[in-house]
Amino acid sequence: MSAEGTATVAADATGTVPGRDAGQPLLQVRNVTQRYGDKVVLRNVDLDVFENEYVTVLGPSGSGKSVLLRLIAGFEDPTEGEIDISGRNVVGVPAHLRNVGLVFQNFALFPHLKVGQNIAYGLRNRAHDRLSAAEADVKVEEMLHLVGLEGLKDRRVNQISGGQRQRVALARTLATDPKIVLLDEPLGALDANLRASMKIELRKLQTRLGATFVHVTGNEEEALAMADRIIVLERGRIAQFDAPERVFARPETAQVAFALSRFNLVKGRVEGGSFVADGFSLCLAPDHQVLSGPATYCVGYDRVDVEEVDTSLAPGDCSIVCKHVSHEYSGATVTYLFELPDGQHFEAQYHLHHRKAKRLEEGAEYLLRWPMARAFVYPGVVE
Amino acid sequence: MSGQRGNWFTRHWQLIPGSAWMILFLIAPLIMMIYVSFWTQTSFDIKPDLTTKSWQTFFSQPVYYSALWNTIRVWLIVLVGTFVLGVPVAIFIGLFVRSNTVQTILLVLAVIPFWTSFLVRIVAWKPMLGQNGALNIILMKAHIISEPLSFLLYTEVGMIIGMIQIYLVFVVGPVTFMLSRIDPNVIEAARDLGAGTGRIFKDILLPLSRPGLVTGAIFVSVLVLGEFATPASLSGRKVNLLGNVIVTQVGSLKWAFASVAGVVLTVVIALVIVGLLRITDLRKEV
Repeated sequence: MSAEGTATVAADATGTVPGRDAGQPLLQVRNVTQRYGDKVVLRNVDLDVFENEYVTVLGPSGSGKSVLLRLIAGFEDPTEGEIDISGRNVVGVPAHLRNVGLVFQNFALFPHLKVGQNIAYGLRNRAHDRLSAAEADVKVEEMLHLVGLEGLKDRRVNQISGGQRQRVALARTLATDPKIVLLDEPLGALDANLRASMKIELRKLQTRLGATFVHVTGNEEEALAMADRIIVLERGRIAQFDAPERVFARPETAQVAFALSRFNLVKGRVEGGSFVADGFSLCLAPDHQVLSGPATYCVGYDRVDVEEVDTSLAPGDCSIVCKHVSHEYSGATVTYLFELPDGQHFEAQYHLHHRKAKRLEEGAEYLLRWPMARAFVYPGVVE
Repeated sequence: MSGQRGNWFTRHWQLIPGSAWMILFLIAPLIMMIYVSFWTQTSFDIKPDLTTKSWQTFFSQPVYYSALWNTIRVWLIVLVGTFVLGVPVAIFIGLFVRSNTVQTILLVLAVIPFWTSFLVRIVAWKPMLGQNGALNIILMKAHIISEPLSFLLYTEVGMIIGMIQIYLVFVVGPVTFMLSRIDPNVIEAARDLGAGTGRIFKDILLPLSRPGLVTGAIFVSVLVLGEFATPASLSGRKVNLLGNVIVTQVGSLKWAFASVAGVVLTVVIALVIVGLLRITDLRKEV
């Protein structure tokens, strides 16, 4: 039931993304359900992706995000529902006739072919529009230049580094000018430095080529940083589908907030208009007070201020007094860890460009406060 | 000088057991065989007086040189037969069966006939192929034929059927192994880039399974070229292979002549292996 609810929200959201012509979507997934035996991997998934859009699909492993890609690529057909590309239903159309490019997580390069031959493979072997060797060669050089691998054309694919292999995989897919480029955790196999630079490069490539990218990832930072819109998958359902700022500003469900890993999620229940847990209560904005029963209280790490216990509160602030446990310094930010009266964890993150770091005493009590409007309550308890 | 020799010895002494083994059991017998092939053979005796008489006999008498052509012909037919039957089986087990357990079970099933003795497997074909054998009974009961086929047993056909069955597993095994090692994503990537099934076979599966194909071909070739038992049993001694010539000649103590046939057979096998290895460098691939 709730899937239909979120689907409507998603459909409404597509029309209101700034700077988008709400024309015919390039890719439409309509009410797709995928089952393997009794196991439901995708449930009533509905989504529209427009031309020239960069969409990330965020979800933990087992959320069905890779299956969604395989369905769009054409390696599997959905148990129920329809997938339209450029307005045409492609269910039943084999992968090699869909003109959708998938960049595999493990790159899946052809181990017996050289870099140039890998990139030329699609151009030389596709079912229609096959290029001659000379034509393909021109395109290969162009692609090598595009991904910054000039001069590596005659290397074997086992003689190049992981980052270079990633680029070959990308170039191989982009060479065939696919309508939609699907990326399955493309940065997962790279080390941190490479990941950061590939993140920028992927985005640049997409803008430059004017292609439509659908990028699957388990990393919230990647999802937020790269996307025009984020799809958050939660156990085979779309939990939220919106622009990253909006997903971040207002997670649709506790699971979405959890997936973004930037929110305190406190377990408790709503009773008589306030949120209570074992030994403490937290204040609620009026529109959240209608709930009752088990609930999750959610506030962003970076919304929380740490003050001395006797600090007076501004109107509209929520607060709690609790014990400081430790802190984590990461260069640009510092995160203070606290323990709520019932033992649950609570974090406050300071971006050092905006706020000065505090010197806190471990084991001492502090007052934490945040604007009431920035806190959300979701029915049910996460995990 | 002596210091250098000591160095050489400490660096290379590990080569000694292997080299000794190869010299004792491969190089020396080969040289001996070539040497004996030039000895003088009389009806009851053999003398180390060098002559080319045995060689002349081998290449002048049709009964002998035709054994060479028979060997090559039968080898080619059996090789093609094992590939035509074995490769599809390997493709099925290696590519289409996704579960490792099922793959292993199917491979073991393919190998099980191999657990019985070689001779039993050959002899077991007799009640299958004979005039009143199982195959004829089935075909007649199914009204496909009205009279029993007589060309199945004690003919070249019967011998080839037997050999293909016996050596099939040597193709299925290595080819299945190579195919099952191919990353399924690589095949999907080829399809994703627009390649149809034929292209994927030609450009992806064939090159990536080539070491398995060559290994299988080498196994089958070496075994078939040296065959003597299957032709003796299933062809009713109608087909004479080089192996049979050697067995007969050794049996009648014609050592020089047996050596000639032995040298010819060794050369043929060596040429076939070298030829097959030219298709792929196994050391580089595996």
